[in-house]
Amino acid sequence: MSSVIVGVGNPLLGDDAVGLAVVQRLKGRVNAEVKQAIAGGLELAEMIVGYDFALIVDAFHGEGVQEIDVDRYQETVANHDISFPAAYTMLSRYVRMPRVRVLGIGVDHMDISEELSEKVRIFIPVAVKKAKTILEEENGHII
Amino acid sequence: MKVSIDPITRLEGHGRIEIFLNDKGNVDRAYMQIPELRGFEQFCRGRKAEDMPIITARICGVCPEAHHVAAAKALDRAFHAEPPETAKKLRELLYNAYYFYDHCLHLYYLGGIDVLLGDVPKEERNVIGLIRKFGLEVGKEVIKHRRYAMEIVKTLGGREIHPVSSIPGGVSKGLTEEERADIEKKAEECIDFATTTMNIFKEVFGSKRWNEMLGLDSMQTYYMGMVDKKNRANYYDGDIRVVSPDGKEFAKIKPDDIFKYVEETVEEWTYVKFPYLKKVGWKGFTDGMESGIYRVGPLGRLNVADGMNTKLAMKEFTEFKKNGPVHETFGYYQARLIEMLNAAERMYELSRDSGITGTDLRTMPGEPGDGIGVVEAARGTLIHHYKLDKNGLVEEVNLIVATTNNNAAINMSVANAARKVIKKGKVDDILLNKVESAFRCYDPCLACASHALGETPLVANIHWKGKVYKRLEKNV
Repeated sequence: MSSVIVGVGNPLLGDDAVGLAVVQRLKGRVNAEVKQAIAGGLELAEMIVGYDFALIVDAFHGEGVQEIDVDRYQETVANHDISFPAAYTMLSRYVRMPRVRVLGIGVDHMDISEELSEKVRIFIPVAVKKAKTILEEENGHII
Repeated sequence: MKVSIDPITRLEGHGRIEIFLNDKGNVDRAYMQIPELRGFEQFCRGRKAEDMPIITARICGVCPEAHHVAAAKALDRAFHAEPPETAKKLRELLYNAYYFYDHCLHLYYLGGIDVLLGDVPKEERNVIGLIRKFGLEVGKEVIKHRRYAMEIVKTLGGREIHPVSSIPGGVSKGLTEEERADIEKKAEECIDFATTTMNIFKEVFGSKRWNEMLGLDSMQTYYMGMVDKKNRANYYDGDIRVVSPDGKEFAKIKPDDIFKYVEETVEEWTYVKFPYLKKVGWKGFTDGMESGIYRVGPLGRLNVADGMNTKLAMKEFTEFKKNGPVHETFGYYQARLIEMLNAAERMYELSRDSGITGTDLRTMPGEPGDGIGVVEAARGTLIHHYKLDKNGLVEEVNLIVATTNNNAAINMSVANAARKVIKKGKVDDILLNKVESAFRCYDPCLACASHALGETPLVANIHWKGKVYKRLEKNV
């Protein structure tokens, strides 16, 4: 069982970078490869090819920490791209794609900044814990 | 009907089309609002100049390579450090790989779907619908060759996206013989794939449907793009050439002088400015010789050029421009195909250049000052202007991005297309898609703006008889 956890976000867009911050804290502490992506859609889908399971951690417009239905995961950092679900569906026709779960951290301000807001910062430990739980569930499920 | 747009309708984060119908339900006026990234200049002040190629690459998920290289070129000028020939070639090789995969993405996954699939229902208007029509094998080839170009960017730029190799005065990483040979092999295959792509699209270009698309919008504007010393299109370096609607050279501009020729105006309904040619003047949203509106991007570049710098692309270019400048907005697709072929050929040429594996990679920077860096981003002329203080820290930043250069033209194209397809108040998804397809020709970069949700988030408001008659949302 090979797993990957991908933090998605733009480090220059304030709270948008929260996914990157979460996976940074998981490096070396989980039985999964940890990656960071400043892109979504097709790029993101290509990054998870070859794994059995992928957990994506990203900011979303909303509140708190919650799992997001993959089919509704439309978050991208670029408009010159197709959505992640479309990219996943397309690539599935050519390669074996992993099972995917998406963990979202609610944000409301994504302005030019390298700082996370205090409001979002407090959710990082919650998201880290949830990510670990998901990885354990998946490993247990597969085993 | 009086047109009035409250400033509160200024948008954040996604594109918006506002269409105003007259009493008969036909289009009176239409606007396309493009979101803008604000606060970036302030964010950059006081930072180390050498960080700019990394920072600017991250503001945009669409063309990080273009911002990366434009920033490096601005710093070459600011530090008076002309890169060695090998460094220039390596940058140009990376740049052509970026062009190839960027155009590939647009032609197969995004705007090209308008051309290849036509008026199919919304749920089929995507890459899956494309695979269904053209077969699994085509999709496989698209993925493979786009991947090749991205791997070339990774080899040269140090990272697959958001490269880090260009630095003031050159590049930080050379090319080994093993890497060069790998690039040569991939580039050669990319030429074949670009030729196949050209042939796939040419089947549509002979159709009645294509003629209808060409008829959707045509404007006699000025054009702008970069050319080499022989006036051939060049994406990485050269002078900026401007031609008038009749195809005659209007100006040939050294990048340092660009702001002597371009000025920007504002409209009350949008934050995004409208660049125009200063010597011609701003006459509002109108085309012709008397209007300073110009277009950039593939159509702009090929209209200003006298030729291409590679054989196969030159052959296609000759056919494309046999009747002079092309004014039909859907001509962007033909131009984009020629550029994709050109980029593949140029990658191949550069990979076989005897100097590409040289080890003289950098000229040491001198005293900091001002610098302007210009490149042709895939979607048009991109200008970075930095002023540095004596310690090499950034004092001022001014960026004019490609989509801003096209802002006025995009608005006019949207209005023209809306007038053609919306009659007597009849608006539906298919008709809206035709209006959208007019601005998709430009491959506009709404992503420079801000973090966006979904695929080209877009809201279209149709105003009739003093209220919003219909509101169509997409990916919002």
